Amino acid sequence: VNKVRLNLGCGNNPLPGYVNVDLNTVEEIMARYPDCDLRNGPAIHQYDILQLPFSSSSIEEVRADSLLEHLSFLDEPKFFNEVRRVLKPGGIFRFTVQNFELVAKRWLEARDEWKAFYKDDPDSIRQKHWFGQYSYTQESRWGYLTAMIFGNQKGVGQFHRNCYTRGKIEKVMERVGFEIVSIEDVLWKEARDPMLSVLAKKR
Amino acid sequence: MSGIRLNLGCGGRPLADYYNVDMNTLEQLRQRYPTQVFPENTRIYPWNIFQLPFKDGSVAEIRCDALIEHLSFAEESKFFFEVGRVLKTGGLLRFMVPDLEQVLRLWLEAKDDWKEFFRNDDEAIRAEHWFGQNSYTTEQRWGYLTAVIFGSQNGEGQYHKNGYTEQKILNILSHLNFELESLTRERWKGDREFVLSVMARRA
Repeated sequence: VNKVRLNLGCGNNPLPGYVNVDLNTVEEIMARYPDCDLRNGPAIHQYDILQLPFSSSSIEEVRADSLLEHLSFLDEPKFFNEVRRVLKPGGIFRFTVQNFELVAKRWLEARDEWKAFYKDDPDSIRQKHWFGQYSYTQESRWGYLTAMIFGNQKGVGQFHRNCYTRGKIEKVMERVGFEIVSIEDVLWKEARDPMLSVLAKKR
Repeated sequence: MSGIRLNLGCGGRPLADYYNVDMNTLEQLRQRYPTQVFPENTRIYPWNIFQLPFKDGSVAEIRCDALIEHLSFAEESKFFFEVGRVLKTGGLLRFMVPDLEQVLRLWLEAKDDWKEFFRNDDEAIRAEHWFGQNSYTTEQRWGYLTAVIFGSQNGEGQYHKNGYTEQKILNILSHLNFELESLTRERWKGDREFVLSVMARRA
């Protein structure tokens, strides 16, 4: 039996055993993440995530890490409904999304110390310029923390357009027709953005 | 005051005696703001705000209300440098921008009670739908308050891509060699979110 699993908005993390989907091609993703060599990795398909080329109730599992916060208010319901459409009954939906409650708190607690305008030339990206902070530090508001709110803005889809909390996820899942198995707090790349990791099943 | 005056990103607020500039045409603005009355002789110029068709030091005043939060991190510096280029010595820069500090505090204090997905059909716009609350209320996170963070998303360009505080504005003005004339807090359209209202002169 062919069990199809999808990894939507995979970015620089295509997974073996999944059909990996992203707005950007392998070349575009590698230009954005120069340290990352994806040439011998799994293929990355440029499918429309709001109209996936799969029949209804045909998919075993859908993963989407750090994707939801990139979708506009209007695309949000389209995406949830499309995931539900393609999943088999009982199929797994796993996603991580920023915990905006914690992002907002961290930003407010950080120092209001603007240093420099953003730079995204290749040298600045290599040096982790982040508005003149030269690191992923979360001590100043005007560095990586501001990019947690508005996206890293390094490519066409790299803007954040929405946000989530545990409470919102519970209500959205109920509305769309998913049963939540677990919601856990995790850190992106084990050190950066505070995220919620959600495991749910199609009702 | 004599001289050239520009109103950049004028949206639904073109001003008499200014060159009103927007990425949308008057037709598009009429569609987005159906209740707004635009004077018969209103003209909207589709100029590129990063390459304004004016000589160095030739403009007396630039206004831009609710514009700079729509610019990406990379566009932010281009815009401020372009404003500095075209303004005369002593020329006036006036702008309003949401106070992200205030907005995030309100968002954290508000109820986390998600009701509905966003809608922007004509009926929803007329009913001030704002995620099912049918008002501009800021009592609840998932309505107008979330749109103050990420933009109203009711047209091209209607996304927020950056944020400002009083301190960040002071640091940027000093970085660009502008002298602050005044910085006050007011409410957008009289009763909505808190915005910072800034007047500064090019030194």
